[in-house]
Amino acid sequence: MRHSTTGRRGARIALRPRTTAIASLAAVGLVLAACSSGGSSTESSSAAPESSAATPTSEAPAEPVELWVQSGNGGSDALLAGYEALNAAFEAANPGVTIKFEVKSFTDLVDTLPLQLSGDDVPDVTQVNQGYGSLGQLVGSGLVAPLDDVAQANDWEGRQGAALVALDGRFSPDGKTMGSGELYGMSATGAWVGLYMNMDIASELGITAPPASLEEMEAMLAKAKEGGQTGLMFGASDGGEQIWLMANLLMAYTSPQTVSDVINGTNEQLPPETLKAAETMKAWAEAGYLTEGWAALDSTEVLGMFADGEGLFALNGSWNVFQSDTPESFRLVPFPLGDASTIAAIATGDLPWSVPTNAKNPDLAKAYINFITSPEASEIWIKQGQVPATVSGNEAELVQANGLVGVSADAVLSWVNVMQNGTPVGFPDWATPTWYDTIAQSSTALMAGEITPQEFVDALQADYGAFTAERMGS
Amino acid sequence: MSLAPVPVTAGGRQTSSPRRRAPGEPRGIGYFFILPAVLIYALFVFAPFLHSIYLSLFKGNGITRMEFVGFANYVDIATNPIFRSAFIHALELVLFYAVLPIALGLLLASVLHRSRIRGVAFYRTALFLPYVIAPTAIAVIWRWILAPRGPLNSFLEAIGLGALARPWLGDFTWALPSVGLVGTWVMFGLALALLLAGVQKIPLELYEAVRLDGGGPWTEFRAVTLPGLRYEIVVALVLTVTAALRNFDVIYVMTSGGPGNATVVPSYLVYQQAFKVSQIGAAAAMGTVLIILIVIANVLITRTARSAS
Repeated sequence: MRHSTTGRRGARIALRPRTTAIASLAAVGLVLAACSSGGSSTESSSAAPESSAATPTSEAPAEPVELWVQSGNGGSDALLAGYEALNAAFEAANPGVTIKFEVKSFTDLVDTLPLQLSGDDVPDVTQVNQGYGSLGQLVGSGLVAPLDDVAQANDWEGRQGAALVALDGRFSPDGKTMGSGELYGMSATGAWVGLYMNMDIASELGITAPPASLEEMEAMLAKAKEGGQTGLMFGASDGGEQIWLMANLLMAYTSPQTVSDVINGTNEQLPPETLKAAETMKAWAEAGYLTEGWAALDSTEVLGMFADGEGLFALNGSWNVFQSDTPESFRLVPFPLGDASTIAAIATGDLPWSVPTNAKNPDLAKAYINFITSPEASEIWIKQGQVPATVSGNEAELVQANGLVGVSADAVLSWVNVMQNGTPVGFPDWATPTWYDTIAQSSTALMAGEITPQEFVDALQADYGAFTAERMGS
Repeated sequence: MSLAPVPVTAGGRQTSSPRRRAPGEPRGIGYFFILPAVLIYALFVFAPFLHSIYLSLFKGNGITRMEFVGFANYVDIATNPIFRSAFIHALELVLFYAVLPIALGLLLASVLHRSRIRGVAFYRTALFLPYVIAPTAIAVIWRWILAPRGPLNSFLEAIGLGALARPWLGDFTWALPSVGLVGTWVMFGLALALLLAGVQKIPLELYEAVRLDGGGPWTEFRAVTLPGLRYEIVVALVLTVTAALRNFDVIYVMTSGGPGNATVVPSYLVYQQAFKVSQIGAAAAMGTVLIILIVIANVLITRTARSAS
C-alpha cells in the first residue's frame, strides 16, 4: 500500500525502549534552558523575539499563550517521545506558554495541508513535506512564511550545513525553484536511505565487510544467490524502495551532484545513464536477487523479515532502525556508489517545520523551531535513538554514552559522515508532483518484465520533462 | 467530489395519480413537506456536484488561481492511457461485483427454493455477513490471505499445487481478478438474501402449472423464477454495479492501484489527483464522468427491466 507520497515513513519494526530517556527528561529541559541563554544576547532588536524564546523570559507573558504545533510523525513513537521531551523543556523555558501538540499520520498531514493552511484556523507551526508537490506548492500559494531572519540570527546553516538547509527548506518565493532562495522549512531530525546488511549471513557466505563499490555489491548478490540466500530484501507495493534503488544506481552511474540536479530540475532531460539504471534493476529482478513475491510486499514487511534474519541486504531508511536480539550483527551503510571515495546518500531532514502565513504566534513559532533544532536538542534525539539533523561533532560520544549499537549507531554515525564529508541528496520524487507514482508504477512493471528499460525511461522522461518545462517556462 | 450513489426508483410504478385532485388537501402542501429534504439534498449533494462540474473545467491546485481550460480535462480522460485503463478496470470489476454474484445467487436461490434445507436462516446470515463488514476490514483480511506467504499460498503448497502459488496482488495478470473476487465474495450474500426473499413470494402454483405442461427445471427457472425475481434482480444490479464502479476502499487498501497500474480505478484516481498531486480540475472531471457513468448504468438497468415486463 502506497500510504505515503514519499514512501519514507512506515511503521517501525520495533521501538527503542524509552526507559533511559524518560528519567532524564526533566533534567535535560533545565540544561537546555541554561545552555541557550548565553549565546544570543548580542542579537539586534529585530531578532530579539526569536532569541528570547529559548531563554527564560524575565517578564512572564501577560496572558497565557497556546502554541499550536502540528506533527506528521504519527506512528513513529520514538520520534514523538523526543518531541514530547523538547516540548516540556520549551514550556519550562517560556513561562505562560502551553504547547498543543497535534499528531497526524504522514499521509493525513500531506493530503490536508494545502486546504488547512489556506483557512484562518491554522497551526502556529507545522511539519511539511519537501518537494515541488508539497512545500513548493505551499510556498507558491503564499501559505508559509520565510524563516530567514531567525535562521540568520541563530546561524542555522552553521548547525546543519548550508547544503542540508537548502535541501530541506529553500525555495524561490514563487515555489518554482527548489534548493535555493528563501528558507521556508527546517528539520529537526535526519532521515537517510542506506543498505542494511546482515553480517551473520555475510560471514556464512565468506563476506567480511560491506561493499565498497557497486561491482562488489553485485558480486555479493550473486554469491548470496549461489548460497541459497535472498540477496536484497525488496518490497515494491508501496513504491519507495524502487525509487531509492533507481536513485542510488543513477548516483553510482553518474554522480551525486547529477542526481541532485535532476531532483531540483535544472534540466528538462534525464541523464542517459537512467537507461543503465533501469537495465540493472531489471537484471537484478530477473537474476532472482530479490525477495520472492516482492511486487506484493511492502517495505515494512520485508524489513520485518530482514530483522528476523532473512536476506543479506535490505534497502531502507534510517528512520526504520530496529531493535534486534543481536543488533551487533546488523550494519547500516550508505549504498555503495562508484568507488569508496564517493560518500553520498539520499539524506535529508525528516519533515521540515514551517510557520504558516496565517499563524497567530509567528515569533513564538520561529523560536520553537530554533529550539528543537539547537545542538542541545541533539542530545535528546540521540537518547531516543534518532538521528539529529544538527551535527555538532560530539555524536560519537553521545552514541556510546546512550548505548546505541549496530544499525542504531550506524544510523547516527553514517549520517554525520555524509553531512561532514559527503553529499546529501534529496528524495527523487520531490522532482515532480506525480513522479513518485510514475517511478513506482513503471519500475514495478519494468522489474516484472511488463515493459522494457527504454519504455521505463520514456515514462519517467515524459512526466519529468513536462513538469520541468512547465515550471521553468512560466 | 460527490460520489454518492444516485437513488433510482426501482420498478416502473405509476407516479402520477389519475385523479386530478387529492381528497382533503390541496396538492401544493406536499412540496412544503419535502422542502427540508430537498434543501438538504440540494445543499449537500446537488450544489457540490454542480460545483465539481464547474471545477472540472479548470486546471490548478484549488488554492491559487485556477486556469480555465474548457474540456481539456475530459479530453485527458479519453486520451491518457492510465485514466482510460481505470475505466476499463471498473467495467471488469462489474463482472466480479455484479454479474458473478447475481448469477450465483440465482442458482442458489432456485435450488434452495426447491428443496427445503434445514437452517436456511443460518446460511443466509452467514453468507450475508461479508456485506455487513466494513470494506476496509475486508480488504485487510484478504490482503493477508493473498499475501505471498499468506494462507492461500500455504494451502496451495500443502496440497501439492505449489506451482499455482503466486504473489496474487503483485501479479500483473492476477491482481485485478483477485480484487474482483473479493467483491464477488462480498456481494454474493447481498444478492442471495434479496433473491431468496423474492423467490419465496412466487406462488408455488406457477411451478405446478409448468410441471403440468411438461416443463423441466430449466423451464421452471426461465418461465417462473426469473420473471418473478425481476425487481429483486434490478435492485441487486443497481446496488452491485454502483459498488463496482465507485469501488475505492478495497482497492486503496489492497493494492493502491498496483502493481504498476494493473488495478487502478476511477475513484482511486479521483483521490490521487485531488489529494496526492493537487490537480483539482482533473479529479473533478474524473468524478463527473464516473457519476454520469453510474447514472447511465442505473437508467439502463431499470429501463431494461421495465421493457422486459
